Amino acid sequence: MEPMKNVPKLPRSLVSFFKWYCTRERFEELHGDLEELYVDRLEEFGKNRALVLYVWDVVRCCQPYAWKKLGSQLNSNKGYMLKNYLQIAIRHLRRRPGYSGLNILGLTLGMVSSLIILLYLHQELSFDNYHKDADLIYRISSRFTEGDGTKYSWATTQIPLGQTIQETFGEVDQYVRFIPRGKTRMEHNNISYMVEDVYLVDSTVFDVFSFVFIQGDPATALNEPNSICLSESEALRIFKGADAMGELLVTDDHSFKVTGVYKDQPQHSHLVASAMGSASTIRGSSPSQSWGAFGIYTYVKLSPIASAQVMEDKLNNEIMNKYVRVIFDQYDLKVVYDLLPIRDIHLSSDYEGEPEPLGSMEYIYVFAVVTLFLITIACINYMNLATAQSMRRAQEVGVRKTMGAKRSTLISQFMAESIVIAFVSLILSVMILSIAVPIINNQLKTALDFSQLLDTNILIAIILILVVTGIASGSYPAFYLSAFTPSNVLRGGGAKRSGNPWLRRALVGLQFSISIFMLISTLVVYDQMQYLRSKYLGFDKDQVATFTLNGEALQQWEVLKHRLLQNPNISTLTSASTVPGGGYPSYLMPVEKNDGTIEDLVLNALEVDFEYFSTLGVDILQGRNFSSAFSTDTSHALIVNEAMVRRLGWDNPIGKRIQYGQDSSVFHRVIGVARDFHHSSLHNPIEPLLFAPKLINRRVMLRLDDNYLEAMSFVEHTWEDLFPNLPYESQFLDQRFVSFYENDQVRGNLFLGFSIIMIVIAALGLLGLASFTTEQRSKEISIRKVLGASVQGLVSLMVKEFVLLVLIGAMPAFVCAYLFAENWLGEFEYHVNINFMLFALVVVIIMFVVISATGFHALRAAQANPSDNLKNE
Amino acid sequence: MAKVNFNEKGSLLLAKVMNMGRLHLGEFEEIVLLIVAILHEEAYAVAIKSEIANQTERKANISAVHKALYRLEEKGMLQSFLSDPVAKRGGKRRRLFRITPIGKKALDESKALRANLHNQIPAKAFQWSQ
Repeated sequence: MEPMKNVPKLPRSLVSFFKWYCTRERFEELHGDLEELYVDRLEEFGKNRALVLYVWDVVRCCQPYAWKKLGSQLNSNKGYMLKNYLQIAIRHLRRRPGYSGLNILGLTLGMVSSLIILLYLHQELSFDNYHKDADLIYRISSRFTEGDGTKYSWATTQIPLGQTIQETFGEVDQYVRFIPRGKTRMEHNNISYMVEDVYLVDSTVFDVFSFVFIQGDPATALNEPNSICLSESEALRIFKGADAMGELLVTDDHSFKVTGVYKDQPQHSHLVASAMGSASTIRGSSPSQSWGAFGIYTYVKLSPIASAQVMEDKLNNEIMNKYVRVIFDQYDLKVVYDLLPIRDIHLSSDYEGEPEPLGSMEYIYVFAVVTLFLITIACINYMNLATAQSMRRAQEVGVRKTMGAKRSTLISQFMAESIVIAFVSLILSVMILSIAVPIINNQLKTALDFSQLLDTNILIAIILILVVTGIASGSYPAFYLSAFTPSNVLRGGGAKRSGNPWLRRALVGLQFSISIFMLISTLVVYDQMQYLRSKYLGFDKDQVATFTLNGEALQQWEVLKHRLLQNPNISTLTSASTVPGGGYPSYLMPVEKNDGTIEDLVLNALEVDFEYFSTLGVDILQGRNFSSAFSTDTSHALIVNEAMVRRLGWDNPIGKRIQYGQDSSVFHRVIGVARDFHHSSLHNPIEPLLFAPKLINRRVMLRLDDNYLEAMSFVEHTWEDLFPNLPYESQFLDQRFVSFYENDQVRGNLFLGFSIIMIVIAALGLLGLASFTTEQRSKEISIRKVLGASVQGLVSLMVKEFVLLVLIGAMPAFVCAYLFAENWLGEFEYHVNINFMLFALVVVIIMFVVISATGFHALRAAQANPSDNLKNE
Repeated sequence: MAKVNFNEKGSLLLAKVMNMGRLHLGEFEEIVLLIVAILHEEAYAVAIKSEIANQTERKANISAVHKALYRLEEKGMLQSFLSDPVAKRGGKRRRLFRITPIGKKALDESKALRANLHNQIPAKAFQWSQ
């Protein structure tokens, strides 16, 4: 030891600053150096200078080497331990590639499915959120209550509403009206194109909604009458890559100049427009400017400080009283305006006449639950396989504990292991997803977007899934394994039990419970789909083709009809204002009640020609059909359906008067009652309908015989012959009806896919578990065999446990599935009864899966030569 | 003098560096490494700093020396151990450094490289008078 000198006094604050940034391990040597330098300098330069230099040194030493925890370098062993954990984990995975594979495969399957659902949910929940002012935009919709209590609600409002409220209320920043024109024929260079989803809109549309313009200026594009903006894909279809700007498009009643091309709207839009013409084109002419006609969509953008609730109240007081009640009060019809935020339309609208199919909040929850199921099943697999193998880890735990590992470090070791595995699965899942998404979109007609995985919300959800999966699947093994006492496991024998068998049984039972529930529910959905497709709708929808008359064809209908009827394959044909599956208008009209008094009511009305009922095969129950033998039929007759008779409460419908049409002096009389048939999908009840005679209508329906393909090509040729410039598109009625259930069908397919995945995951887990338990019991089996047990007996001994688990798991699954089925089927106006054979079928399927998964290993063990297993003893 | 307690992890670090294959030395690192070797058994940061000042007439801040020493230790070219407490430092110990075989190899390689390059210089390159 060197002789002690006076310890130099250094400013305390500086020393503690140094101490603060320096790691403990380095403090001694580093600060020692500084002190030594200080002492040297004290002699050389004097106190002040030495102190300044010391300060400078303290500042200069504030560098990573001083802060850095000495992980892998010196005294600490954390870095080494981490490396060691990872290495041990990898070695364990490698040692049993089969189990590891099963584990990772199961988790990956679960994650892929969850990610798919996540993408779907994200899409459903993000409808219309891409508009810059999405939170300020509302659609005004209308609810009606008739005098007799009948209620209905429409997504639409009247033409003058938008402008009036913008002028009246300061809170309305901007408004825009969408006037639906439906499918419109557009002509360019003498070629006709049918363009779907055409709207006429106010020039303010781009102030309210965000469209991305490729060509043209959104600020002025629709300022002039007869201007039109096209979506990119529509422009490409019509102009084939040539410049669309300034080109002319001619429709049946107007001609438009293309003034803009915008990027196709995202899939998650409640209204998709292929073309938007300027509303000023039709100013002054049709459609009705009156406050009595509800036929257009009105959107308002409120100012950021305005309250939607206050606005709605003002609408329903000021506007309603001033303009609307003056028309409808006399008919005892109550109208209420609703202000619906556009982001809510897709999931929460219950209005009729929505421009695009809606989603449903209920299915959002259902899918969220399915995700939960999938993850649960995958996690249970992991837990079971990990604890079943615990014996192999017991010795490791014992050694680690003896060497001083704390329980908490062991827990974090096992947790980290499962999170690493979850992470590996996640990466695999994303890779699989990149391939699977296009396939799914193609097969299931969905529009999932893989790139959405990078959306912040989805990323958060993914990280959450990762952590939850890691922790949920890792927690049980971690706590279980870390609890081993070294003295027991190292002596041998103490950890012969591989986890708590009861807990494992319960978990396996839960897995099968979930699988059974999902499969039954899916089959119920399929059963109902089958029913919807095959149910007799009250008319014969098979082999009925339909097409639309437009332009010249409408005028020359008689000629076309005559030519078509000459074909022997076409038995009858009819024209009507709409075909089954299509919408129909409602009009307010004076109606004779049962007691002979006249009351104004809103009734659904269709215009049909004389062959309508015979073509569709609908019987006339009372009275007679329209007939050309009665010259007054075209002007004075009406037919109603049974539902209408019920609604109006007529005891004797024949001869009842209804004033139909513009001429208020003419009363039509009911001449017949038609049997009820389903004009719309089976989601809805049969609506009361009124059929008015009209000889020429836009929609044509043809009844064909078995040579329908030939007949269809005949129709097409005749059309091309007569109207070479008009587009022709035909459809079969039954296809139309199938399309109503498309959403149900897609969901059904998704559910089926997910149930199968669940069963596969559960079966994978079972396979691993069974192979493990049979391996453990191999000596027992060998001894039993030596003592005379048969192979069959041994297999059933081992399979029995799992079969029992399935049976027990089936009980709660049955109850849940029954409740679900009852609830879901209740949504359909017409549905199948719950078929209990399905329940049995599902149990048989699951049983088959279970027996093959477990029986395989059991059989192998039972057939093994006992001497191989016993010779080691 | 201080008892030499070699760092237990020395051999592990050695293995790690061996795997890296290439031995790279910065200019300042090379000087520090040389001086550690020169000071043999007495090489710690303050002494190295003053030796650098004496030998090269350049002033290095103590933190630069620290940084180089720890870096060289990380690379396995130096080993370190703590001395006995020193009164001058308020009873704190010094971290003494010692060159390892890898350090020697790095120095040799660096020297050989320079010599090799020197030898390749044609005599003409140093003739300026024309």
